[in-house]
Amino acid sequence: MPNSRITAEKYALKLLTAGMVITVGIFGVALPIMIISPGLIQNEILIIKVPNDISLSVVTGFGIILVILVPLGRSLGTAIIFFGGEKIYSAAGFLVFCLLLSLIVYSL
Amino acid sequence: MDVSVLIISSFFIAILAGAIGSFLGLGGGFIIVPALTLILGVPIHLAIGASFIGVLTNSSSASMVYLKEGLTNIRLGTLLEVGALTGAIIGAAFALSLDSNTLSVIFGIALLYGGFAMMRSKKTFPVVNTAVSKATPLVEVPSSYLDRSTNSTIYYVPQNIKRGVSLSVIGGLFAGLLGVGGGSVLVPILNKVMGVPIKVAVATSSYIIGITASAGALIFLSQGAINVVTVVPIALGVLFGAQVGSRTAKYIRGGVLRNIFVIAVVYISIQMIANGLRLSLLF
Repeated sequence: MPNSRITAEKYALKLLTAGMVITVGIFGVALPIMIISPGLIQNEILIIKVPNDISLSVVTGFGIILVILVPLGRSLGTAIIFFGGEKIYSAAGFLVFCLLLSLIVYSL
Repeated sequence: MDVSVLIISSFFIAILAGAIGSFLGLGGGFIIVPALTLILGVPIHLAIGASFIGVLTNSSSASMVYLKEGLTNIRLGTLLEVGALTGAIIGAAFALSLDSNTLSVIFGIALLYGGFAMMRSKKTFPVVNTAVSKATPLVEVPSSYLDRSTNSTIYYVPQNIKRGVSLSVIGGLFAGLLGVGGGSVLVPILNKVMGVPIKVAVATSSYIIGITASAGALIFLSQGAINVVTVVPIALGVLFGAQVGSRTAKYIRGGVLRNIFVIAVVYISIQMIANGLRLSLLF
């Protein structure tokens, strides 16, 4: 089923591109600020506390979580795209999605 | 060390790691972790946390290029991700209770053996020139890619799928245990065991290690070991480096790529054994 493969490749490419563009945008803004004014980081002006007592920068935290979640979306997309014709790949993608999701729930 | 200097130094280390990592289908963690700890004095846990994010961005960035070039075997990658992710979760869970020095030495020796075995191997991996439709898709995942170095279309049928999926658990296991992407194990599995051409093996490995690194990053995130000061320059630097590495790889012949990979594997092995034995190596 070459069409499913091509669709899966296009989907993965779009997802990765979107994730990377947003990440580069966020980190690209944060990096010069950190270099010029490292005190902002040291004094934790940019830092917030989230429920599990994890210190994350508001600016970069979103980018970091986005990077981590891209593979989750990728595996779900693969599962859906291959569902029509190639069930073995769909099952594999869904299994990866479930494992990652359970890990996210466990971690947070 | 001044924070600004640390950030700038981390950024340039990450560019190097990203270029070399994506070039070889590795995540770059094998450069990031030793460089941050040995050169910049960053605590090992923060270095590994940053490495996971670096590996993730490297995988995403390199995969974008490889997908555009049609080198990534997405079906094969999806199958291997199951094993690799399972291994990464088990590895990360065990990492908390097992002695890291012993593990480091064992892994280093295993990797050293793998590197030498790959170097000595005279086996010609199967390049199938028959019609793709003759193969059974669910079992053999037939595919092809355009080799730009020879300007020819290469057809191949991966072998030993079940064995490859089983062995990918080991790749994930080491990734979870040691804070690397697992590419140094996955590329030999894809190339040596499954008979996938080295360029496809490198591209598919880059695709898979995003999953193992994501699992590792989640565990480190839950333990508060993801630090903004190290993560931001590493993630950005790796992104730029990965673009350079993956764009260069397609113009290099498979044999050259394999030799570079073997040298990298031997280097990582020696570094890991030395770390396990508490010996310090600069290079």
